[in-house]
Amino acid sequence: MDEDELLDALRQELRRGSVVLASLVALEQPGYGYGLLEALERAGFPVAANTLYPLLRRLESQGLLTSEWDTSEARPRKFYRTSPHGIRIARLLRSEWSAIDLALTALTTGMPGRSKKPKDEKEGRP
Amino acid sequence: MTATLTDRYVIATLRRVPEKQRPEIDKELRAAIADDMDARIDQGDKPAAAEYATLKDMGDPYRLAASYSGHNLTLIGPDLYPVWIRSLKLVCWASLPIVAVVLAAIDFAQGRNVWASVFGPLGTTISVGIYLTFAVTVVFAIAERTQPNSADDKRRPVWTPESLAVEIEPPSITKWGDVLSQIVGTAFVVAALLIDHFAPFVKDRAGHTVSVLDPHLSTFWIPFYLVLLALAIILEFVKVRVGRWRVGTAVAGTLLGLVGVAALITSVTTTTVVNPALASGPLFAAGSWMWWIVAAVIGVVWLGVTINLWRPSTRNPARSLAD
Repeated sequence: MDEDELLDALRQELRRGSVVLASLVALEQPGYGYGLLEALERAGFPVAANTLYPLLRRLESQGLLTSEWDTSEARPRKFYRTSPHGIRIARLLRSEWSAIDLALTALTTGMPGRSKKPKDEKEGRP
Repeated sequence: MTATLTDRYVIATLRRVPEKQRPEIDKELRAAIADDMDARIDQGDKPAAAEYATLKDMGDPYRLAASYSGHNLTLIGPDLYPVWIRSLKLVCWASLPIVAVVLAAIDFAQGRNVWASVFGPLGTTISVGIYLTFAVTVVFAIAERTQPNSADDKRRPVWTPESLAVEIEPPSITKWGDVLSQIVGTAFVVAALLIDHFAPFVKDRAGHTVSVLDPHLSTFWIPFYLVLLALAIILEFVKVRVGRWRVGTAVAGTLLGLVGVAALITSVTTTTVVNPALASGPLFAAGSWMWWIVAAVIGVVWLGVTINLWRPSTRNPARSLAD
């Protein structure tokens, strides 16, 4: 495995959970499958169609999204919208996201605890 | 009307998702494919090329359907894999040497030379190994598809370090994984007895297929063992239901073992076991020294299993660690 492949694999692993959060945030404005796919792509969350569509159905069955068929246009489309429950969950996930970023920053800039034994560092975890 | 590529793709996907989800996924998938195609056509693609590219991007319908229906795409997942490997080793080690030795003994008794007797049965032994591997794998693949998702299993007690020392509620010690290999092993013996009786495959000197076990055993001993083995399988199921060590199941296990081992020792020392058409002579006669060795081995194995059944570490794994 060369470096690009390795980076790709690691990046994919790192981003795996972010699509859920991105979808929940994006769908606070109702959207349909392909539209969301494009919106996520533009926003920098490239996601495969065969991942996103099943994911939307799963989030719906978990009660995080609601859906409605729009038949007013020639092509009927299923519109998803984040449910109040989903909005709450998204808020919690976002603060988790920031917490990860903060923790990483703290690691790189060097915390006061850096000089201590590695064992003590773990105690600061939530 | 000829089906378009999209039709074929959608049908291939729907075939593998639960029926009540099909109408929805059908409409949704078609809309999504059409949207994607439109976007490509707007960028200058020809319709046929756009359709092809869209479907190619969507990928294997099998994978998509699995993703929709939440099916796993692994035969045996990480939860069961260690137990599967362990069962496979156990079953193969427990039965293949016996198969090889018994077949070699039969060949030798039929007057073949030592080399032919030792290497002749290897092919059959390998075949038996392949069948065993297949049977064990099928059982685990079914278990993989029927067990509740472990991540969703809220009934699991939360583990804390305290449960190592203090036992308020002893943790469940008998799980499917623990007994699956025993159930598989017992089921294999049952299958072997039935196959030997109803569909024998070993040939005697004259070339007729005959059962390995003496046919007269089928009037009493074989049905008797089949009942015992069935009871043993039932007992394993009960153990899983009960979930932890209990005096009742241990007593039942001990009694069952005692009856089984007494019957085995009686039958191998008082009657002929191997079909005389396959192997006769003093070595195979009832009560020969070979059968006494077999009886002794059975007795020792039973003793070991029974002692293990009552050992404190089996009863209560956490406490014995804390001691």
